[in-house]
Amino acid sequence: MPAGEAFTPDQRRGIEKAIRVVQESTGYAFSVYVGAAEGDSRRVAEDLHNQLAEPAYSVLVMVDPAARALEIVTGSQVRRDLDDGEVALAALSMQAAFAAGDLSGGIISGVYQLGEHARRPTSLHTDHHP
Amino acid sequence: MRSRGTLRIIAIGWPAAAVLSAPPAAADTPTTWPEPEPMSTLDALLLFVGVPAGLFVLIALLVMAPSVVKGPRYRPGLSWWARPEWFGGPTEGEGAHRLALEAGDGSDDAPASTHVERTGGGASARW
Repeated sequence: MPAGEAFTPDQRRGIEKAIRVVQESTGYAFSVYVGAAEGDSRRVAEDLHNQLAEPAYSVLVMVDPAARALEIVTGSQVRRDLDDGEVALAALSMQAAFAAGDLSGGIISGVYQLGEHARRPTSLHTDHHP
Repeated sequence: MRSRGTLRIIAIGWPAAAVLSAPPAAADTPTTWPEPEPMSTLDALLLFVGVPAGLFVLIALLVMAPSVVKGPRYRPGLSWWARPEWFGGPTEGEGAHRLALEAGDGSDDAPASTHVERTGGGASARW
């Protein structure tokens, strides 16, 4: 198998833009890992999530195209605004796009969907974010 | 009733008679036509095999060109060839120095990083 790029430059820009937009609108860090995960994919995804700068305030989306596995890990603080049901909903729509062969489209729409759900109600008097 | 039967016989018989009684075509090549030079086998092959084959290749190239330009595409079920990519990973932005720190004195930090907060959530899916 020849090693190659997973995405075209356009697709890559699309994913980077989705991450940037969602980070600005939610204040949480979003990260997308696309690659093979050896062993238990949930475990790998959680380890990747812990490598992020601030795991509690981060969302990690791991896509393993080889094993056809999708894992979304949310940090403890993110989980207050983005509950597991909402994450499962985003996972479902990503899953549908992936099954149709649209890797980048699924990632982009999934990230936006996660960001939409994670958007915190604007409250000026609370202070729970560093 | 009798006239009807006669009509029917005429309706079937007349066209049949017209077709069957036509003399065989006896036209010869008109003498005014130019006499073509006999074609060599090579020329015939080039014309009747080479040209269609060339068209075939040209059309195939035109069809395949867009996907060749775009590069390989992910298809579910086929093996994965690309190297891993991490968008928004710790190697870029503010996370970079932290990763560098962890790499510096790895041994005592490594176990800590495996059981840092497991109170997060998430979801899994397969396709």
